[in-house]
Amino acid sequence: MSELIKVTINEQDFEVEKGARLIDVCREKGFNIPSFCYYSDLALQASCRMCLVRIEKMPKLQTSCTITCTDGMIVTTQSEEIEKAQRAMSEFLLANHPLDCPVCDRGGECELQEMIFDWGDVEERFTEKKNVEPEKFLSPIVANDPQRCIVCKRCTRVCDEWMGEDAIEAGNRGVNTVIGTYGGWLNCSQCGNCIEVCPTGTLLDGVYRHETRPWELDQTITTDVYGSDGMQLSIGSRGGLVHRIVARDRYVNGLNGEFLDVKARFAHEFVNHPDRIKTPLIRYKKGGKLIPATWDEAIHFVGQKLTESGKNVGVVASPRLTNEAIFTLKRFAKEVVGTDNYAVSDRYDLSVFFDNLSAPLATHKEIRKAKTLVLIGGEPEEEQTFTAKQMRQAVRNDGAKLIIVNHTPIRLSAQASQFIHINPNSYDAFVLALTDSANDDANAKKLGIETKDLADFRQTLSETEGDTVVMFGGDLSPQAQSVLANSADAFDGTNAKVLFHPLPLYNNSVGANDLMEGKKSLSEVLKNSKALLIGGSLQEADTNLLANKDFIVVQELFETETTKYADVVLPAASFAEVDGTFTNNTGFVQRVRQAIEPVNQSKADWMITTLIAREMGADFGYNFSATMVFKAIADSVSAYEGLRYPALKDESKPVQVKHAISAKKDLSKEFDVLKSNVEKLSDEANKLTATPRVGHKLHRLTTLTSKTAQFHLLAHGNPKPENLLVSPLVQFNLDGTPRTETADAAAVGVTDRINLKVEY
Amino acid sequence: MASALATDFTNKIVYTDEVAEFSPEVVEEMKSHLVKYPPERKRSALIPLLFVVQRERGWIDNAGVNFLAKFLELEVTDVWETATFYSMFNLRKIGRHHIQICKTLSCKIMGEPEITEHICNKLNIHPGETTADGKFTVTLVECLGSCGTAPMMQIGFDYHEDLTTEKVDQILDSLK
Amino acid sequence: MSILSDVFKSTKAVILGMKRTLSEIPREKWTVQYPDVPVTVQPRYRGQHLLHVDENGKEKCVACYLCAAACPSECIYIEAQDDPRPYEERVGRDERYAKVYNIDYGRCIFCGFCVEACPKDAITHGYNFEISVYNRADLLKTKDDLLITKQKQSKNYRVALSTEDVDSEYKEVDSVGIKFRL
Repeated sequence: MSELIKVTINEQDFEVEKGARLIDVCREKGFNIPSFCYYSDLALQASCRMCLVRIEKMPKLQTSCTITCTDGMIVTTQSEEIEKAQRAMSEFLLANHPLDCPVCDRGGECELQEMIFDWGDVEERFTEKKNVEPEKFLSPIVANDPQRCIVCKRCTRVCDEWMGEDAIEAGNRGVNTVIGTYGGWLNCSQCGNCIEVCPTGTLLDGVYRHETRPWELDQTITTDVYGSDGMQLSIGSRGGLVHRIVARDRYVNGLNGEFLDVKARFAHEFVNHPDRIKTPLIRYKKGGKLIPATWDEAIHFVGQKLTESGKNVGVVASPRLTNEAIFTLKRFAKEVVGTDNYAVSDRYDLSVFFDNLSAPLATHKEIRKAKTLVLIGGEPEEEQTFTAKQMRQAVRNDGAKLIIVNHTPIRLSAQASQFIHINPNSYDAFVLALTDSANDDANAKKLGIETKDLADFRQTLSETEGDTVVMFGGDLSPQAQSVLANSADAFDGTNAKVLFHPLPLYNNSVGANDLMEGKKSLSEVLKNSKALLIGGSLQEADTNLLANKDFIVVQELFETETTKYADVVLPAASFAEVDGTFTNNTGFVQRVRQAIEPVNQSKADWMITTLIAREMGADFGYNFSATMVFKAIADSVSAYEGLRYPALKDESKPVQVKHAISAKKDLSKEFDVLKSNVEKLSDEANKLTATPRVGHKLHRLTTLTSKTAQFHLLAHGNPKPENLLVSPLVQFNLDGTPRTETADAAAVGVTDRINLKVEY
Repeated sequence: MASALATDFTNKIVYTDEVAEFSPEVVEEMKSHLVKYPPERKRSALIPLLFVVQRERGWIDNAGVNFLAKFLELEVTDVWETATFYSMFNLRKIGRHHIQICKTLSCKIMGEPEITEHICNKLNIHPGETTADGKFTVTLVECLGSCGTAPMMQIGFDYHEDLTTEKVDQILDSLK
Repeated sequence: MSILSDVFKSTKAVILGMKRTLSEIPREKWTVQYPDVPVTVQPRYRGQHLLHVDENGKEKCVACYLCAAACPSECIYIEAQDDPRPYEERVGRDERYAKVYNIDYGRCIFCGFCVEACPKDAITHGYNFEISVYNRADLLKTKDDLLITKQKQSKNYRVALSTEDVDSEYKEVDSVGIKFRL
């Protein structure tokens, strides 16, 4: 505990923590202080000068966002003098701001609008001509109207501090300052966080452009369906349509604050996409067509066929499904079919990690506060974006040491205090070196690094004063993962707590692993079964194993590679249409809430499975309520014991499931495999030196992201102005002249974008 | 008008991935600037290097920006931000002779408007523009610190003081 | 009182009454033979709404939803649409327009809040009050029914009694206008 000091605000005495920021203290104590540029998670700026206060013994009004409380400070937040200054400031802010609120997408939730309601004057005294800038798109999904800017520079700070990309900056100076980019378009991962933090309508969501107004939207707090960080977000829906996704403070207060990535924020068009499967489809004859059917017909048909197959039915769940759906699929396998043939269609099997886990999972807050971060393999800035943001801030703001072991110079390595650039496929050798310091020379040779690097690595770990977080991705072999997960003591420093953080690929990879206890590998299940019930789709590479099966049922949103083999396709509901939970990579169980009614005839995945089970004579006792499914999970899975939906209600206080921490195990078998693998490695250094392009994995088109037209442009490489359909006023040719021929401007329309060839 | 030019720059830049190449001597000179700053604060050398690029290439062009971003391990937007902030960096191609007329108070009182009008009429351009033959660029700048001899202008690196329309004619003719 | 004075009094009353009646007979008649004869209404009458267009025929509405927000009976439904084309090709005056603009006259209470809320002067009350229909669903008027260009072609379109324009507030008030205002 830090010591308390006395501060007097508006003649009231308060005890506050030493080092607290004055603006935070005032707001906490109920004194409203207006501000634009202040953002608690970003560096200080003090450019809007709305947060002025009078502090005794200081000659001028002070910006409360830059003042740290000191003992005996006497502060006045409201007086005639302060109000006059604030009114003058708001008048200056409006000097160039156009009055186009009716058109602006921010209208209704605009911080400038709200502030001017309180602090603005009706009359404007400026008679000068306002600066006029053409409205334009900075990328297919970021719209920019420079004249609305009040130069609070939140966007540039977010881009720099959160994303480490520096893609957007303030150009020119004085009254001509504009937020912009070099060349006129955004060359970045398109996370859209600049849109989120913008207090005005300068940067706007290009996907949601001019669709509706914020007060018309129903805000539903739910969890991200793409990344494993479990970011909390708010779905804005109206009349059964999902219009936009935001993480704005006023709607949702999750672990991620206002942070989201490009997929979480923009790739939601799949929910109401016309390609969604509308009715159950049945392929009556092998090789025939999928023919629409009614639900009764389809369920009856499925029940009949699966009963015929007896015990030869395999069950596969996608890690994208909710815990409820995955658990119901497992129950179907166990109780209805009576088989152990069930698997998860994940590219990265987490079971070895959790079986050998020897230290607790790190939450994102702990990553932010950790003193040493070890990242072995993986590429969090592309796949676990929020984890990457926390790492970046821990290094940047709190001086944490980041050690990266990777075969490619990933972007985070620029921030690393030590970057151990190893040969491709030599992670096994690194894990061996970690647990066994005797053979450093030989291991370093296999890794293609100096022996000194390993010694430095150990020294950093042993000198750490604070938490150490160890993260590793799916690049490691299962043996290496089990050894790593079991060797928390290898990372012990002085006075240090060691925490693990897995880097799974899907939103519910962890949940799928928890609930599918005793699961088999996917290939084994596919080989051993004649009939299959598949929730979600398989990875495209695995689909060829589906050939020559007797009967395949798939619960899906879209027609995919997997449905090509399916005999019955049942339309499943997306994450926006169901109630449920996801478990993120820190073990938080978080709610998924229904924002809209299931589109077309789709049903929630767990409900479909329950219907099939009922047709086959088994009753799970769910009573068609997701609450009951979760209760069943809590009753039968030890890590989820005692949890209920009401306990998960508050997204700001997520609940962590209790993953069992195992004692040190005898892993000699795994060691033997590792050693033999390492021996096979060549001694030649053959390193990959190219830093991967920003967003190379984020923009990769999957079944879901490919439904947002703009993502095709993003996946194609960062879009250049000639590819953008620019709204609304001016589009520029490459030589800088405004584009007048409208036919050309419209030529690269939405349909053309979809036909662009995508290279990974 | 000069400010309008700077604003236009935001949107009207021909962007390519081309990176400028400099002779070994110039690169050596750039490195000599680098050693003045701590190695982790490389970007401090941005302004001296921008001047070098401007001297070598005439203006801060796309290839030059790309070179600096690579050389200092910055993003191009970082270079862009700094270059647009300072009016002494030319962000578009300028003529062979860069005429900078002081427009601040002393010169304005002593007849800068007539001088500007005369020059612009003579060259048939507006302030901030370049003549069609690429010989002259006229810009209006803030105080050049020669108030005692107002009105004045700077051509290249030379000051021309106590200007009259006749004197301007003479100077411009001598440049042709 | 004698009976004579009673007769006198009542006769006088009848004569006075008949005088009034008879004197009204040759006067101009105020009764309108509605619906055989069309009626006009006062300029501030609040009838069926009009969605206005600018001088080039572009819709003024930018689908800002303020009318829907102000509406106490929630009878206005709007769907906005982005229109990135240049002005000449656009539907509306701005880059944003209402793709769907419905008013449910089964719910509208003709309070005029929507007109007050409109920042673009795009919606006003017209003078058509003949909106009764045989089918309740027909009370839902779409943008096609409400646009002034469409309404002008309909037989229900009517103008006000005065020369005063509907949005005279924003125009210079002429002598006629002042007369009517007073």
